Amino acid sequence: MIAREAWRNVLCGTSRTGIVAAVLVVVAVGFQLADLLTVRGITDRVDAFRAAGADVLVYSSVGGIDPRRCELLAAQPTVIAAGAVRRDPDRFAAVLPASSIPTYAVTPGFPGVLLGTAGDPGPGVVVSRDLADALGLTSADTLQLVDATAPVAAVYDYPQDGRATGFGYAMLAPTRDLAPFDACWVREWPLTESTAMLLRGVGTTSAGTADAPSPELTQLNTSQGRHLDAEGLFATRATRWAPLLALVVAAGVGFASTRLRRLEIASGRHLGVSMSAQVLGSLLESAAWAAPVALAAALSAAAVAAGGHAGDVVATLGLGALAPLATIVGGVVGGAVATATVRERQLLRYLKER
Amino acid sequence: MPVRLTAVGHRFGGGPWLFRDLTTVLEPGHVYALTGPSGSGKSTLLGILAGWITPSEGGVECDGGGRTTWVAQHPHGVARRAVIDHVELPLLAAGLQASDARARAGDLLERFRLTDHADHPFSSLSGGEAQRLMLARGIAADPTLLLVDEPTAQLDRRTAATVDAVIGELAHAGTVVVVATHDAQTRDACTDRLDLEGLQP
Repeated sequence: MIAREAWRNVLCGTSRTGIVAAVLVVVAVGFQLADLLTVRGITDRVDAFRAAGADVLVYSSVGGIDPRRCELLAAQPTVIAAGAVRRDPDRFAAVLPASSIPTYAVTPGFPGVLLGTAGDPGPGVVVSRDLADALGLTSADTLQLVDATAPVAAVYDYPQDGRATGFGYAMLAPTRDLAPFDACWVREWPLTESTAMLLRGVGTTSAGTADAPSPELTQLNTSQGRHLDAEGLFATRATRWAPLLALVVAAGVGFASTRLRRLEIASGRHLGVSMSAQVLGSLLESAAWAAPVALAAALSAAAVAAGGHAGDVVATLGLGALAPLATIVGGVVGGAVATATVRERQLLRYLKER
Repeated sequence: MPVRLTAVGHRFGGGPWLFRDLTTVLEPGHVYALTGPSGSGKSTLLGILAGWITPSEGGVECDGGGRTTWVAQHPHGVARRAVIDHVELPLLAAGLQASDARARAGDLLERFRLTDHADHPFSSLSGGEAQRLMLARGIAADPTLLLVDEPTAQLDRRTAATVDAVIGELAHAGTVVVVATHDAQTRDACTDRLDLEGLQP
């Protein structure tokens, strides 16, 4: 009987389902998108920061880096790749014997720092995009040098976007020899103080001769700023309050739209309808606007998720559910509270207020 | 259940007495016209019977208690709900099955000459029709005491006559009906009369 009354109120427009649904769709989707797009802005900054190599730390100490200690940093949970590098004599390609190729001996983990992936790219040399283009190479080709041949294991991008120079046109030759290296590179996300500290400890014990330049720790690319505290940005973003605001606004809408029916509610109470039946009816009528609110919010969250990283889909949908859920809870509770606070004895006053 | 008024009198604050020493018994099945000149306290006595106003002196007893239903001067309903829904609501609230409530509401609409409007929205009713619906709905609530406040005061004479014509239908076993009115024809449509004239000291 209560469900039938609620359904009739919805059908004939007494519940104002259409207008309430429209307003609450705007509230739910508005607060949802405000937060999701703010978070998207943070992830875009992270992407730009990392794409520029700003997440690569370089510890330089010419002839003073222990390659084993450097490679061991890859065991840190936040480290993506780590490896040591050392300048080797230039090499010459068979097709361009007059132009030298800056060449680096690197430990097996080093190419991963530039490629952004963990692990060894496989046997062979790793060349920069510019060198590959100049020689017409791809990663399955063989590089013909004047004095040798080597398979190309991988090609790395090294754009001129503010990162340290020297690797834009270069070849990396992995080696397993344990002679001291010149620098230890670490790609890490998020950047941690503990890794920076460990990185300062990868020098050889014999390092530090009086005439060697003192070791220094730098960032491969400082054009994006030294630090990007993504977790801090996320935790302090203004729109983290969006679900709470949605709750409050929706509660106001639910309360106000139901309060407009106070005469009807008081009159029903006067005719013997119990408050609990009316509150239950209010909850059932809420379902009629909650369904389109949920549907609209699901569609907009899906649209945002589709435009983001594949790995962020679940997080995006989860975060995107908060404001709409708060909207529905707020609207339902607002309506129920408005129904419960109507007093039968105020019937005559409500009549005069019309 | 009869309603007993014993030496009831009322005044607001230290003001003059509206009426005093009203002693009477109101019987179920009767429709009382509560009359008296303007300012004689018709609305006040209605409020006392409803229990909203405590009389300055005397007492009102309603054996066995029960529901009191008030029919306001201005008809009010849910604009878009059907006329018959308004009468069904108190029947459903009382626990009737949907089909029984429908049938009983249909009977009441017929008695109050609203059958043709049963499925129309409340907002389509004229003033007289809406007031007749309020009376039908009041009876549907099956109260012990039905208080009707000036049912024809807002209506023109011709429309008021359509309401007066169904006042007799309010006579309902188990219900004491009191109709406050200053309209002679509405008064004459009632079965009994409760006159406040002459109760001013």
